[in-house]
Amino acid sequence: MELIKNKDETSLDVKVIGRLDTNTAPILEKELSRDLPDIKELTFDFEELFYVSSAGLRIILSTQKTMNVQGKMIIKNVNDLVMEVFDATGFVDILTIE
Amino acid sequence: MDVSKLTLAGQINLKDISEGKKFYENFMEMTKNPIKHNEEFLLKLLDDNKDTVYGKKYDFANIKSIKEFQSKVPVTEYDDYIEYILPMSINGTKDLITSSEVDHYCKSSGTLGNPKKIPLSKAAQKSMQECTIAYFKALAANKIGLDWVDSKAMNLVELSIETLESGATYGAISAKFMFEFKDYLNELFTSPFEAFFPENDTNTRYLHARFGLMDKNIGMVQCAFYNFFLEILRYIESDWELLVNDIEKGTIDETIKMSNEIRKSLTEKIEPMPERAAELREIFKQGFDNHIVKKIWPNLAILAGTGTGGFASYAKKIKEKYTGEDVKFLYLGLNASEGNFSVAYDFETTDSIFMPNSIFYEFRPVESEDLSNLLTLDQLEHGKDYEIIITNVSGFYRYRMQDVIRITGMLNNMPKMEFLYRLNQTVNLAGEKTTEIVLRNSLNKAEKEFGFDLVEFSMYPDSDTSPPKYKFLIEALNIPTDVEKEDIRRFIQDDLSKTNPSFGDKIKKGILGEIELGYLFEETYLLYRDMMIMKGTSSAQLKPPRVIVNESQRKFFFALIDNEL
Repeated sequence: MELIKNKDETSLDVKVIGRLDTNTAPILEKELSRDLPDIKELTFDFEELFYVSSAGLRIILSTQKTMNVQGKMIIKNVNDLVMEVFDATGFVDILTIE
Repeated sequence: MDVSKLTLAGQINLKDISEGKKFYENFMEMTKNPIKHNEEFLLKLLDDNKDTVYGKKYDFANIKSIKEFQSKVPVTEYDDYIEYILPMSINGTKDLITSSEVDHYCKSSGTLGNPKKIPLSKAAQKSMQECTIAYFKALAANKIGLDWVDSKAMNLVELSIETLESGATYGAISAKFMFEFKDYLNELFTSPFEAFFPENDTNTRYLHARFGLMDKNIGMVQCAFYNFFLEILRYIESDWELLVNDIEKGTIDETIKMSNEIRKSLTEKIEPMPERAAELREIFKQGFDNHIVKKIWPNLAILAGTGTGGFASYAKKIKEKYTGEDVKFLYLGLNASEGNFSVAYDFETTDSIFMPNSIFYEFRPVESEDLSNLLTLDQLEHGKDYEIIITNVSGFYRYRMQDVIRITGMLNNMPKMEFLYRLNQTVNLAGEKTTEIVLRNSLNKAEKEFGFDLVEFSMYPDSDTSPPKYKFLIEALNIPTDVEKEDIRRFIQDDLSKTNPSFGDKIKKGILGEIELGYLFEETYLLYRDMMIMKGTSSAQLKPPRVIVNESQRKFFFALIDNEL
């Protein structure tokens, strides 16, 4: 998994490339725990996220919970494979997907 | 024991023991003639409720015996009460189904759909508090002595509570009890308030584990279900270095999720504990395979919670790997949103006894579909299985709990019971009637046979295929590389065929298709739990869905099959 981040004072864009699974989810979690405290707007770009497992979904869910309090979280460019998982697991009702 | 030298926890425990002693003695007395006490309870309940809307409808005023009650009042399910519960919960309308004040509604465990609102009257709460707190402490004092008394408990419940339009509270009943204790929580329990009523996305596993590890003197662990404690032990096993470092320095690692406010508030409460950290480090370095719990907490005497039925496998794992025989297990009887229906009478036994002065019980033998000839406490046979039907002090009359129990023996004249399964978790695609317990046993045997660690499983009875079939989904760790999925699948099918010959016969005849098996991603059941909690379900009521019963659950779990395994 590769992360491309673009951060200013209160907003953070994160492009996630590759797989978000048991091995890589802790890396994303660690990165976000450092970056999120002052962030009011978080945008994930999942255009090149091709695989997401339960561990990955847990990180997305917990980040959404954090951003519900701090501001807002947007997910954009979700490909069909990942969107199917979001749809089936009920994530589409929880996340803001553009 | 010099009471003046006890901690506040010790003093409260002693007071509870003193109060609980009379409940304990009363229960033992009732075991001599349970049906007499049960009939007295019923007739008083009917008299108390004769002027309610429901009482007038079914003429409670003129019911003078169990037989009359059974002939005049219908057997019911939740939907029969919705017309009453709505005005009660929204407007606080009184005297509809109960004359007792209802100031709390329990959230049922629910599924991925909407949870129900189960009324719980003040009278029922009083009875539950007596049985869950005072009685069981008195039982502990009677059975294992007082060594645990002067210590805090590690309590692993995590709760949320809402207020309804009527002003009544809504959530797990344990939330209401805990909230009432909020000023004493820090004195009674190791975990901080922030772990019991977590905000936002606080990492509560860390908080329970970390604050628990800080206290060497823990005497008791309390959890809603035994898997909660197993989860904490596994977390300690995997993350002990981080935990010990934090204990040593008095810090909370930056990767641990919680809001800045909570982090600040918690950090103010902790001091560096280098000696405890060094002690723990030495223990953990030696590995976790040899009953480590008593090394961490030498005075831990009691593990209390629900560890029977679907949770029996967790209790077994905890005992085998982590506690050995030195920690005594107390299984807390049959509890549900509708109330407590049985209480433990001893440690280390999975059966429990009825509460004839709190609930009126009726029973349907599972082999009979007839609801017109229900049995009472004095008519039960050892070894037989029954659906339990209850009348309680919160307004449910002849209510089908959907729980099936087995009579395991007698304590004096009181039947002893063990929870077996929920009726709506029984699979019946072609008349084979496979219960949850049979499914679970087959999976546990497969786990042992092939040497993997079963985290959890679900089974979807697929009636859309032709022929219909069972589709198993398992989350498992450490599956040996030389074990093929087909071998496990075949083993489960063969074992189910042996245990339930009707299932085997239908497979042979092609009435049921061959079972299917899929591996779920790691952390799928944790994700399910996270999702349910986000939707408002209390973790104290969360159970993994062993049988997938609706489309939301089906879509959720089937989307998380790991096709790479």
